[in-house]
Amino acid sequence: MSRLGRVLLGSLIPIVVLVIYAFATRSGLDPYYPSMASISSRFSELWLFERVGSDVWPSMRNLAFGYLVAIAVGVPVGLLLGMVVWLHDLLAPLIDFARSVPAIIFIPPLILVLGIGDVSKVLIIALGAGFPLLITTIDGVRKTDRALLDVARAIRLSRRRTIWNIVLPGAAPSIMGGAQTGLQVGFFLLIASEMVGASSGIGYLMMRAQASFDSPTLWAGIVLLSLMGFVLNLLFLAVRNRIIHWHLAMRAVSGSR
Amino acid sequence: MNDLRQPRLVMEAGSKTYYSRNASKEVLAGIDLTVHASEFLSIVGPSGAGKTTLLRCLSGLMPLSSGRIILDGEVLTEPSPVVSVVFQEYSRSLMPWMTVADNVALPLRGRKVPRASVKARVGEVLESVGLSGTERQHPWQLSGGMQQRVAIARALVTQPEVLFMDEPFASVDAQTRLDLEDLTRRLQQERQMSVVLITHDIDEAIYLSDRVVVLSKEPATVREIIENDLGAVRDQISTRELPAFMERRSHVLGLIREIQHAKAVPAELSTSSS
Amino acid sequence: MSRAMRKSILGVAGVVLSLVLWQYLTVGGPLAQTPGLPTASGTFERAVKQAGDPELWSALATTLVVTLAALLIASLLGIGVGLLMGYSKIFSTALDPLVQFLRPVPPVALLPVALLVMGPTSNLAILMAVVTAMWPALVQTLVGVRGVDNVTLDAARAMVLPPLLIQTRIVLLSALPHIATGIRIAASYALLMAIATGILTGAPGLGRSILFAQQAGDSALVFALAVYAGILGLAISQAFSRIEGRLTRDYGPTAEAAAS
Ligand SMILES: Nc1ncnc2c1ncn2[C@@H]1O[C@H](COP(=O)(O)OP(=O)(O)O)[C@@H](O)[C@H]1O
Ligand SMILES: [Mg+2]
Repeated sequence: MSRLGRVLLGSLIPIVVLVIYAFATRSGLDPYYPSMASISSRFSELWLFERVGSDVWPSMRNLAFGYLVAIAVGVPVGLLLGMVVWLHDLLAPLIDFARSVPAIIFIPPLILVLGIGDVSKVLIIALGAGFPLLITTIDGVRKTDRALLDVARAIRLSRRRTIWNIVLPGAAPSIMGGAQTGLQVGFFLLIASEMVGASSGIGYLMMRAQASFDSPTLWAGIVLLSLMGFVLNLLFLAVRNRIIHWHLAMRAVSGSR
Repeated sequence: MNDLRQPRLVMEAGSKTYYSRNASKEVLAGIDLTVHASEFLSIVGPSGAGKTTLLRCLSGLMPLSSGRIILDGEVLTEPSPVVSVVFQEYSRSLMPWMTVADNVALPLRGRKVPRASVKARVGEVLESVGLSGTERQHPWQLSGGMQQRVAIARALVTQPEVLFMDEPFASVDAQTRLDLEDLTRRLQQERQMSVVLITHDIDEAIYLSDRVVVLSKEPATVREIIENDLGAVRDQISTRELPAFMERRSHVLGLIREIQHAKAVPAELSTSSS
Repeated sequence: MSRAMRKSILGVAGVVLSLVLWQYLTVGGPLAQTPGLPTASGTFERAVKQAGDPELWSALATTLVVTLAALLIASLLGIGVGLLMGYSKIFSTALDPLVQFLRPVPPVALLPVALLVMGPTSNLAILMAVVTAMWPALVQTLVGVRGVDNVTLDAARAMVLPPLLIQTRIVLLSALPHIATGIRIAASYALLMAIATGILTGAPGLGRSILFAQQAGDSALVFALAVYAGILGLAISQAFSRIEGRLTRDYGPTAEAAAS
């Protein structure tokens, strides 16, 4: 199939869906499914100007902080637990429990204790994103190739350099898996925490619009969140591909053989 | 001529027993072994004899259960800066996230070698193994033989006085193997290193070495040490045609067959141990 | 002492220590009297007391039913579309861009609209759980079908097996461990959304109980219910890990391939 053919085929379904939606809602009278024109005008009204400073930007900042805290705590702690066997054994049941808990469960207790400010949102995101990172870091570190550790000892590499040059890079592909899951969980928890009794944020605006049957705002919110999820993932992939490009390239080489 | 040799590394009554949950396995039993300065020593023995175990103990990577190892008059308890090791599985012993140059430079990190001279030494050692120009590639982009050359370059970059190699050519193709054998012998001669080569290939051992140690099996003991003076310069065709080469080859083959046989028929065990 | 015994003793010690630490911090320590933070013993008492309340059990049952129903639908959808895309070049070309775009979209974005249309019902919870859980099922199926070992396939072709047999027996069976991985992840996502929908909209189940407890400011109850949710999560993930482990053992190695 030619490149053009693939592009056409690939865009077929989205275009058909959009055309059907546009046609079915052209009257603009349905309370749930507003016309495309009203969605797009609401989108530009809300997200391009009015609400960016008050609702979109603070949300993004909370997500960034929470995610950074998750990385800054999850990876070093995972490294420690991956290398110190007794510490891992001591905490394994607790970690197993915490990883199986549906992450949304972090929200109500934290809100009760800390209120619904930025601090508790950042903490909720950090917790939700931190566990996948913690677990994949432990996993990656424990799977460090013994042969490479032998090499490290034979060439008398210091402990610090062994961690920095051998253990961490070797665990990086695994950690990146956790980082991707963590980002998705963090984004979900950001929106969810805004939906629970917050007074600002995209999630809050959408829940308020829902209560007042303001469906164009709801659909404009869906469009915004979709774009944000898509762009966040692209950003993540760009960073990931830089960090573990060797792994991806190696996999491509060995896959084709 | 033996009197001129200087002992560098000595194993005295080295024994090693592995313990697992409910079993123990004696792998090395009372091994006495001397590695002289600037000699090429091969250790041959059947698969599973304990060759890798012996090398890990000799290089200080693993403690002996009893006995001791002495390097230049001092007891060795951990890997020494004047010793290098080329490991059995070359593809697993290189860091896939590092370029060839970074892999080779790794042993110099933390040795307080200035940056500029690290670069110069890496370039020099890569050239000596015939890998100039691969600095910026990654190991997995290279063929098996070239990866093994990278591993050898990494071992040489610290200018070791003793080099251990654990079946370094076991998984490369036949032609590459001959090239790498000659490369190793040439480097040993040029740098006047002691090389301890572990192999299960008898021809390779005799072709390359000044002495060949034959290990028996279960547990490993030194069965025989063969003086192998085939001259300083070896040649893949003419050396292998020397009567002395073929004689020793038959002799070692016979020894190995005996060892294998002794293992299969326990009744003969008593005759095979010394 | 054997390794396994050491491990379990240390594990129990870890749990006990953390409970003692919690109790200390909230009773005499720096976190005493923190509003909204119950003590360990208070939470434990509340959890025990709650066990006698039929409402808890009906909420747990509702959440479990919603989760399993959603998992069933999501698995059928995800595996079905995954197989179509894995087998047919046309389907994969047609759907790939859509999947690439939709996968990173947080399904919770749909929640307000779905709530507006459906109200806070079990069906809403099922819908949200399905749109979340179908992704891992789809992606892992695709990874499994596309990742079939070429040597195995060549061997099958060399034996001149009929194509249909190759497709069903060899491709499907060797994709099975991946599919099992997908279902395990899908199950935890389904539970997450089943409870999240309750907390966010008041749809029936454990989530709603937590929401009500939070609104009443009954922090011991919130913590006690969170413990029950954790136990449910642990039970579900253990059950599906076990299934996955069996399939992996029987049908060859799997790597939770980070499909990208
Ligand atoms: N870490 C270990 N624990 C227990 N047994 C081992 C270990 N390493 C090797 N062995 C056993 O010791 C014997 C010798 O192994 P090895 O030294 O690798 O032999 P070779 O290198 O000659 O093939 C083998 O029977 C092997 O199973
Ligand atoms: Mg070996």
